[in-house]
Amino acid sequence: MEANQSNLKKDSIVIVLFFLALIVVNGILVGTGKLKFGTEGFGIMVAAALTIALYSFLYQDNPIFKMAEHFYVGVATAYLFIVTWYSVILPDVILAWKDVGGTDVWVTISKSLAIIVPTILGLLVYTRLVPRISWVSRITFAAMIGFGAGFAIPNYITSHILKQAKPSMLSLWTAAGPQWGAIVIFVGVITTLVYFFFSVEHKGSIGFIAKVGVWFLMISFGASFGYTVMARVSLLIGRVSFLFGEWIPLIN
Amino acid sequence: MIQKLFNIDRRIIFAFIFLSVLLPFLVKFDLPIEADKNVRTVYNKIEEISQKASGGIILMSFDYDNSTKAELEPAARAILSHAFMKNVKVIGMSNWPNGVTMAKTIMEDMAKEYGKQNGVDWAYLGYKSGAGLLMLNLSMDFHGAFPTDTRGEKIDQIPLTKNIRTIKDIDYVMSLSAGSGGIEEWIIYSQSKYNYAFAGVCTAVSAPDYFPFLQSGQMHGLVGGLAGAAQYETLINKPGTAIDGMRPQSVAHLVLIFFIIFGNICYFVNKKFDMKKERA
Amino acid sequence: MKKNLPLTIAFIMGWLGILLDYIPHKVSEVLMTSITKGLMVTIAIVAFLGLYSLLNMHWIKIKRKNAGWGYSLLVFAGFFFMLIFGLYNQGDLFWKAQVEQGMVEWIYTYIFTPCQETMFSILAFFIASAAYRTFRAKSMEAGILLVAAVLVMFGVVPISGKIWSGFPEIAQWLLEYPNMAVKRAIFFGIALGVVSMSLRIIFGIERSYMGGEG
Repeated sequence: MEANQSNLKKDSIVIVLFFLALIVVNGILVGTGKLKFGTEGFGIMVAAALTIALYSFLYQDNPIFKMAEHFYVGVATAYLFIVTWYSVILPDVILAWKDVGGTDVWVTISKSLAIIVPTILGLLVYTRLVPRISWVSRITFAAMIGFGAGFAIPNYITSHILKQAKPSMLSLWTAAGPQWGAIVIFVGVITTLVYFFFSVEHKGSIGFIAKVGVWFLMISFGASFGYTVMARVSLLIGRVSFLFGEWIPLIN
Repeated sequence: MIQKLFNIDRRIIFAFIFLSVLLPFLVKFDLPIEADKNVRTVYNKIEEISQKASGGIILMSFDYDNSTKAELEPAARAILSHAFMKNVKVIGMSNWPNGVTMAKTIMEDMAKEYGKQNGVDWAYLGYKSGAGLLMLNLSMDFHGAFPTDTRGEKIDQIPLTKNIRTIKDIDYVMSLSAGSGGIEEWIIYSQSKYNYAFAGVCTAVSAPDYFPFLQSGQMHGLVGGLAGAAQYETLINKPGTAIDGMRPQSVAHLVLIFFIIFGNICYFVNKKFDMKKERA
Repeated sequence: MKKNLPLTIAFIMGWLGILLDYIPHKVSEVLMTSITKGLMVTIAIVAFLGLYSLLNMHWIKIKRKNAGWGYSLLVFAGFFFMLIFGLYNQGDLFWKAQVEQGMVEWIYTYIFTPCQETMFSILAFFIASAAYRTFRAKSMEAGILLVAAVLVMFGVVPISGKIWSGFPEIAQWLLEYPNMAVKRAIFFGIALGVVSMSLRIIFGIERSYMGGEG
């Protein structure tokens, strides 16, 4: 109980100090004319506060971080709701009824069914909230997953097997001499496949081929790591350029 | 001593990384940026379709959100600049719901900069759920997949989109992708079936995964990460945030390489020391 | 009924997915567009269930006054802050298209965007710390991984070209040949995995989507 109260007191001090520091910095920025107080200026202040609040996690987990994190989750959830509403539900379920009426009865029926069936199928999922009839939601999942599974088969075969097999079998030796690129691709594909082939024990020559496959895999993982570093640093560059470009104008 | 270096407080490493990004922004120095062949192919394709009498139409699918904005937005702006400079028309759409406002803002900003008219020179159709389903659907029935744009205007009445029935009516399709529901799904569910010119603009994390599509011709160009965006900015001769970002990017990579090498030196010295101790 | 109906639906829908793709006929194309469009709508409706689950989890936390329930209040504060402006829709309310986003755009730009960007950029720090502590050439394989990582990491930034023009070329070669070969082999594996898993779903062997009671 005492530990809890001491934690609460510590949290309150951290929160108060954080907001005081922000008020002082923003006050200086507005006072010196480096940040204009308006919709945009206030927005930049809020964005900077949230950025610092979330970065505070790098020091240690703290209440400021948790507050920003939870508020962000709430905003993100509502945004997803709004986008789904205005992008799909409104035009494709509600406003779509405007186009249903017509002289041809069959066209009217087919257009109506094109709205009603998917809507009912979607709504059936909400039976999960009533335990007694929750099994009904399986119908929707079965339709979605069944169709997804079906149409994945021909498309994956085309894009990931048929169209990929041909460029793996290029001429390894032409009139111009050995084609090193083609050789590396051929050896790399075969040895990696052998490494993932577990039906045969990796011993002797198969073991050696699998080992070469591992070397290829390591090069690929290394390349991926190099690019991952690049990606993460780029994101940090974005935030640093915001904090020291838009908020505190240190960077031109 | 070595053990101390091993267990260095991670916050010291954090501080080094932070400074390695901040300081190069303050100290300016030039770096040679040369476009690689995959970026150049995208550039050349836009140049090629701009020669068409009708001006050519690109479909840009914004398949990312804020989480990777810093990486992909510079490329999106550079490509839009290039297209609008050359009077190529652009249709935008999104497969990621959280990126809708961002994509719309980018398109509006660039259109404003080049004096382009919504509905005539560009259009933003917004988001639809389903990713692979949407890609397959719009490839066959463009008007059915997106009955209206984000303003609620019917796309069969918008001058730019009224004649687009299928994906084949578009000259160039590109996905600006940050992962699932992007480049790979476009290739699986649409490009491999309808065989049109397709390019990818992706985050650096996923760039190595797409090289098989480049070699097989399913994807004929790739702008990867902030470095790819910097290369595109160099090609259109319009320096922007990506070129600016290459200084901190370079220094941060050097710092990280230093940490990795230093960590390994410490490891081997420590190992040698331990072996000597064991022998003694 | 509870088990067989969903399994039958999955079987029929699965075969429809396969056959419609392989039959190049006008009717199959119309059917394919109708089904894909319909499922797009269904998925959107289903998405709200995920949102409900998240909010319900935080609501229960508040109701039971679990540890950190105060933070859950902030989830609702953020949710309603965005939702109210979204539904208000500049006075047009939620049954008209969102022509202008107004306050939604402000919240998106100055709250949602910085939060999401920052959360992901934090990884830059952790990847650096992890690389320093654990990236060791303890074996030949680990050594190859380390050398490839360093070469690519260095070769992809322009400063490498300033030191020696060969660095970017080496990085590009590693990506275009050995890396590409491995990714292709993985593609074959993925495709075979997708096909076998899809067949398991269609034939009712894989039933995890039924909630574990199938």
